[in-house]
Amino acid sequence: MLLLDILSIPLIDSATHGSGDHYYAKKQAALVAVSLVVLFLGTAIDHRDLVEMSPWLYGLNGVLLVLVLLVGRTVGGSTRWLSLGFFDLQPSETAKIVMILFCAKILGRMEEPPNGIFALGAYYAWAVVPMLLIMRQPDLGTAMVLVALCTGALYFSGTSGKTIAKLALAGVLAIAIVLCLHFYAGMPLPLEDYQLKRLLTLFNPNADPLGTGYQVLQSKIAIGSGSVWGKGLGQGTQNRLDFIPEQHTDFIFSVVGEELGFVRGLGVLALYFLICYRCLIAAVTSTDRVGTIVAGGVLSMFVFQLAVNIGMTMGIMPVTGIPLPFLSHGGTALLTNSFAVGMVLNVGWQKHKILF
Amino acid sequence: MGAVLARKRVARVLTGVAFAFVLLFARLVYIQFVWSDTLGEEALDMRMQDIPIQPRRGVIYDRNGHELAFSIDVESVYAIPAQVKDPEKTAAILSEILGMSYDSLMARLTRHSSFEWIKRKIPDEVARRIREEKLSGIGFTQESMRVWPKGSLLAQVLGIVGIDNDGLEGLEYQYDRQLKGVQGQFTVEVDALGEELPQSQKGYIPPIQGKNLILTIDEVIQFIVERELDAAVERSQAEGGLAIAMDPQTGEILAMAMRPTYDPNQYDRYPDANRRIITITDSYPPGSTFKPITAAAALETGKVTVNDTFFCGGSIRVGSEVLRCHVPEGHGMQTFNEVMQNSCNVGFIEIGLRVGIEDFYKYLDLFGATTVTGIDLPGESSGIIVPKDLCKPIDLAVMSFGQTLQLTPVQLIASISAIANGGYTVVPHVVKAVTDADGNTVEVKQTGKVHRIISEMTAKELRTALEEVVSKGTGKQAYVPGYRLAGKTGTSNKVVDGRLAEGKYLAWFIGFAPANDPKIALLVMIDEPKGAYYGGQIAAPVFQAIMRDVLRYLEVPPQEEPAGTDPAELVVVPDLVGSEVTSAQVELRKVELVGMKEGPGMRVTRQFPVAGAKVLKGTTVILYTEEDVTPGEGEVAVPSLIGMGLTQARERLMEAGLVLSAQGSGFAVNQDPPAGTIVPLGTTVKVIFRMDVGQ
Repeated sequence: MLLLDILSIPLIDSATHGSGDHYYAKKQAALVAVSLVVLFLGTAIDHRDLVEMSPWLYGLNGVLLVLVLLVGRTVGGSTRWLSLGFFDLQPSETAKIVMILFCAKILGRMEEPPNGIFALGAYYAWAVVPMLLIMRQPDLGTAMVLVALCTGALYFSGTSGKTIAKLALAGVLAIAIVLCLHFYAGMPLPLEDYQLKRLLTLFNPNADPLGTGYQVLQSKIAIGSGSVWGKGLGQGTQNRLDFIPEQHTDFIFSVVGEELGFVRGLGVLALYFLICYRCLIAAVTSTDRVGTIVAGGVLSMFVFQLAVNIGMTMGIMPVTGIPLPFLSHGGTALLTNSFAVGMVLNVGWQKHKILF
Repeated sequence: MGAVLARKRVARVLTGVAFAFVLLFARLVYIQFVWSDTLGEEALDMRMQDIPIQPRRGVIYDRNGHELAFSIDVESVYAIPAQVKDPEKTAAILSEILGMSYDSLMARLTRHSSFEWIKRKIPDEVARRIREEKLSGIGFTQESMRVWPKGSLLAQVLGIVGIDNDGLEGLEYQYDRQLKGVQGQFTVEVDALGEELPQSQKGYIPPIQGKNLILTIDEVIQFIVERELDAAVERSQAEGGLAIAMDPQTGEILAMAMRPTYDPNQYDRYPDANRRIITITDSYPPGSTFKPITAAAALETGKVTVNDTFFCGGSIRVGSEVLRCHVPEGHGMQTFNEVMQNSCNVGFIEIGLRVGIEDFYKYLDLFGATTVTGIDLPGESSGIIVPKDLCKPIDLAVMSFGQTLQLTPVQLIASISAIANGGYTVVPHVVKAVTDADGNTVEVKQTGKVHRIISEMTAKELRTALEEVVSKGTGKQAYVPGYRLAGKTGTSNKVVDGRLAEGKYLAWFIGFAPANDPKIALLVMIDEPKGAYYGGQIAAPVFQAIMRDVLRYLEVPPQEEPAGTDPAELVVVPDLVGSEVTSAQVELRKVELVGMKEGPGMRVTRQFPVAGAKVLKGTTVILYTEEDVTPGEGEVAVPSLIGMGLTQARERLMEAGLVLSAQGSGFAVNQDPPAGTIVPLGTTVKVIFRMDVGQ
């Protein structure tokens, strides 16, 4: 568990060179400090109390998401932030944690894990409200994270693998049908054109190297040019000369690849794996069902975000605005992720109190 | 406790998570190791912006080092759109200076591209004005622009180049690789927005300048040939014409001209067809100019000797057909040489039939009538000949006097050269050597006789026969006093769209001089002359005029009496240089020669034929009385301004004490008075400038 703290140090390093601007670096350093407090906070509060509180949190977060749409700050075409003066709050990030807790609450109350279509429908319905609000921002990536963590929580609550598989199949079919209707019948999509294009770009990023495929191509060039040991911190030409857009947020992993190189990139992956592994252990060893679901939900959230984010920097996942946990610049995300880890620690702590 | 989560379930989750990580790991390995090299280069490419530097295209010289085509440095203006700070203002300024449309400039300045040409090959003055505006994102690069200083001289052979200095036609195309050189570049490092980085890597790869060509062409002979060809085409109101002068001993082309023609400096003003090198791309029925080849086959195979006699009754039956001679009543009994002098078709039919299809085709091959000559110009074709297995006696009979088959003019002159040089084939060529930019010779072209196709004896007999054509036969008008000339007239029906065009003729003359030691072979063809159309009437005088000046220019000493002339008819031309025209006239009359004054002066400065030449009585001797050409007090010779920019031309004229009156902008393409004219100081020289020279 101590490795989590150790992980915080390369976070600062990476974030600092990520933008090359001291403002961001200082801000990030401060946030890391705060995140340690939040981490401690997460560890200190009993996760069961949080789960009990979750309907209130769910409601509060819903209000915040509505507020974002009304008075939120807009950056780069997306309205995601609530300006609090000293800090820009991103409710879509907190929504993830809240959703995990809320899922644990719903599933924990049930005698049997939901398997029937109505039970599942009712369960997902709770996720739909924040999802739609987030998609309005628009932020397709985070909405998808919600789907992922709900599904993960479901699995950890004991719903059979077959049911999950059927759900996934139904989801894919639904998306396929909607896309077909969109292209052949002109059905309107709740997506912006650029979002659809980005998704489709995955299949052929070189088709339009200066258009939608640009980021991915530049990112791949950055990672590939890093080779074994990288170009050294602050030496990445693709990064420093701004060839990779969003290199301090969503595309931070390409900076890792270019400047730190393969070996250290692998190290970063290993640290992530360790966190995920710890989440799983916590889920397994948890003495209570709610704890298992919380840890499982956090695990699902991390795995999904990692896979999609790192995958997209290397051109095997579509470009969606999902930040990389801990490394990407973004205060709310860092704090919520730290809090999530804290919760998982708390879940694990119930069993291993003696160790500390 | 682990009771909450089934063991199987944990294993599945772990597998799933591990799988996701392995996938990411594998992709990382792939990108960083398998792709790493290419992606690293791409990263470099992204930052490096190359600005091309064009090499200087090589010069084309004639055999004596006179420039026929060269390149001058001009500036081209380009934009790096990302660096253009204020496209609207920039476009407005450029639009005013360059006279280009604002919209097209805006389109270029805002295009999503790293490099855009704004306008290429602009005059120095315009470039300077743009430079003074200090526009961001607008740069200049040196490019070379082609100038053909002699205008239409040798135009088709020289060819043209495109805007990117690619040779498109003629020698410019054939030797493009050597002439072009290798492009250099100037490299700057830029960031994602295309801004040049301070202290960035800058690379300079110097261009490798193009190589020069030294031609076998002699500018003076070319000029003489073109002048006479022009005169003939105009005189006979012909559609066109062509002429080739070649050294029969080596295959070196000395001149090659065709009409209609064009000026490569402004080729877009002329029909495309004018640029074709018809002397090598087009084939024509050679008519009687082909007869020497028939005769060569006959003599070489021994099937005919010069002592044989041939009877012409005006027509001859071949199979079921009756073929007529051009003299209805016939030429009567003739010797072999007389058949040649009379260009008697009936006689040649008999000679051809005696040779037979087998040997006739063998000599067609040997004389190169069935293959290309291998001349170093693009687009050569070989003639059109009835395939041997389809050849019937009637075809052989008609081919014997040069109809139904078609040859390119260059094939024809190559075959006559074999007779002139004692029996060897030669490969016609126009490039003598290739030199590098410093003038060092890097390549010398093969030249000279290749292999024997007829014996020295046969060649000599044919030379005598052909010399008699000029001294006694149909080629009398080709006679140049004082020289022994050999040649053959020809008149053929023009072939249009594969069929004989009634009433449209080609008038030919082919020959060489001096007959006993040939220095120059010459072919002249006038296409569709109006009125008289016989080769002997139309082409022979052109041949004569060219030969007269070329032999004098080559300083070929006057010859002994031509073969077959009565020694009693010959007189020696007296030396008249330096004497008064009137006394020279008297002097000439004494030896039964005629004097003709040429030029404004009163004293003979040169004469033709030169003193000592033996000529026939009654020959006209031209007395040149040129004025003193050195400028006197207060006078000056107009310098040549062709190819110069406005500033340069003005400076050159100021040095000479003359005044410039410029018309247009760009580079001087025409001037009045022409270079070399003696004018009083302060005279205004009108110069026409054009921008699109070489484009």
